Amino acid sequence: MKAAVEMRELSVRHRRTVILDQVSLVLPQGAFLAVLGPNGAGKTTLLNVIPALTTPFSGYLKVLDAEVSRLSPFARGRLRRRIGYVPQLHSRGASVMPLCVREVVEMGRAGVRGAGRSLTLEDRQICDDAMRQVELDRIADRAFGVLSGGEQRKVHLARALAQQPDLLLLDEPAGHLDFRWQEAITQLVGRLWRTLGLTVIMVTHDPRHLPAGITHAAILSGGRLIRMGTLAEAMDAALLSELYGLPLRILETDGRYVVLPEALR
Amino acid sequence: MTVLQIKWLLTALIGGAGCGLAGFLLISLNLPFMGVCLSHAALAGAVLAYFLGTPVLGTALVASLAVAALVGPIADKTRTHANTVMSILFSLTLGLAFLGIGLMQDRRSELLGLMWGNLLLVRWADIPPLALAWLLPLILLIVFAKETKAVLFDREIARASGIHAAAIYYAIIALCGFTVTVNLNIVGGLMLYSLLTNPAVAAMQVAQTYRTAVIGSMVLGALCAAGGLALSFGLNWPAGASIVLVSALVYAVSLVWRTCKGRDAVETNRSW
Repeated sequence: MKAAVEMRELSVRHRRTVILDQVSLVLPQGAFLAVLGPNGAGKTTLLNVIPALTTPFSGYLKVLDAEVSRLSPFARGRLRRRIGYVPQLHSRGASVMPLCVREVVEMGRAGVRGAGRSLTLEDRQICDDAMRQVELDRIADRAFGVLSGGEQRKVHLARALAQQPDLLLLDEPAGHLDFRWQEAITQLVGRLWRTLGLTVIMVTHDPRHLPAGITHAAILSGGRLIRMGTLAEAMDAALLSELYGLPLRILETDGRYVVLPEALR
Repeated sequence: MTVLQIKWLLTALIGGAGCGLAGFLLISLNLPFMGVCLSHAALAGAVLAYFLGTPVLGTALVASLAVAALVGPIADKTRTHANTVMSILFSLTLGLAFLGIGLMQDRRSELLGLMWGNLLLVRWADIPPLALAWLLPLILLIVFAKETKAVLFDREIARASGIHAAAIYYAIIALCGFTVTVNLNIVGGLMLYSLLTNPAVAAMQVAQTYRTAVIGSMVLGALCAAGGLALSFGLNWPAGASIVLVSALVYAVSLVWRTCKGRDAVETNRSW
């Protein structure tokens, strides 16, 4: 199967600090990769390097058949249009602009349609479909700023889907939400992956936020790729205990995993 | 109304609309302090122009754009918040302006005019640059409507969606610098900030949609400048200070309106 993402000995540095250290991985098209690891492991940097939002120091990176280091700024823009990106939202300042849900979702078509061109009827239908897929169509005209954190995540998912991407990058989509919304977003991400045939890369701290049946999992620590395999292989109590520096145990139910401190036994 | 009064009114309306629009752009970018930074850099540039004998408008524009261009790299390299860098550059440029004024005793009144502004000394030749400083950002907002909206909402998300966000962002900052520069001798470097901020924030308090926020910022900017001018005529007050007071009043009214509207919503929910 063709690779959606291929990294070979990819390193990212900020001044003298190594953020990603010689990371190599191959992700086939249609796969779901979960990226796990402690704070400062380089998870978000790994995600940012794929759409060329962060420039690597060295190594080889191929995304959707494009060798990223050889791309011109315009070609990078074209690549980004094929990648739906939902960044960490809880750490971002709220926009003061009075925008409705539909306007935010339509931003997903802005890059695709091209500079200076108005959105067409087809673009608006694609946005309607994206909102329907995440069950936002009923609140399309509501102000974005008054939505709950969970609803805002859905809007950004719809915005990313409106790009009709080949690759979806999600950074903690269920983070900092209450339990109901964590589960709603997890189920939604799983459903979108299964029904749309997308390749998904999702960064998360918490394996509870991963839908059942995902194909790949990677564990990062200190910028290094410690393990790459299935989620079951990554959910290794001994490895995670060592990484986080406290004894952990792992519970598994229907393909979903929960990590708990050993002391809670 | 005399020809002179028509000229003053026209200048106030066009300059006010331009400042309102520039303010909307800067506040939407979450860079409200960029306005004060640009205006004081332009002031320092204008003082420098008197010192060097170079064109005032051009030197002030170069100074404001240079300061705007420095903010991002300094913030990134030193890992300092952009607002902190802007506050340092603001105080530096203000200090340089005062230094220039102090050193040029013979032209002090002219230079102080740049600080306080004087709408009544405006010439017909000042109006085309003012109109350009209003229309160019407006054209950017219309021609690149979806791109500017995305960049104003979230620059990083716009970039990740394949929009050339940096080009749009720097175009916005450069155009705001131009607006600030051409309005310098009307409202004055010290008081321009209120005309950049107050009408735009007031419009955002009241507006329900993006379009009404853009139009509202321009309309309130024009009304603040024209209202300040009327107050200046009526009470024989300095034009710049009058414009500042009117713009602050407009902002206060928008706050009261917003508060009343919020209270209505709560009461509706309670009765329900």
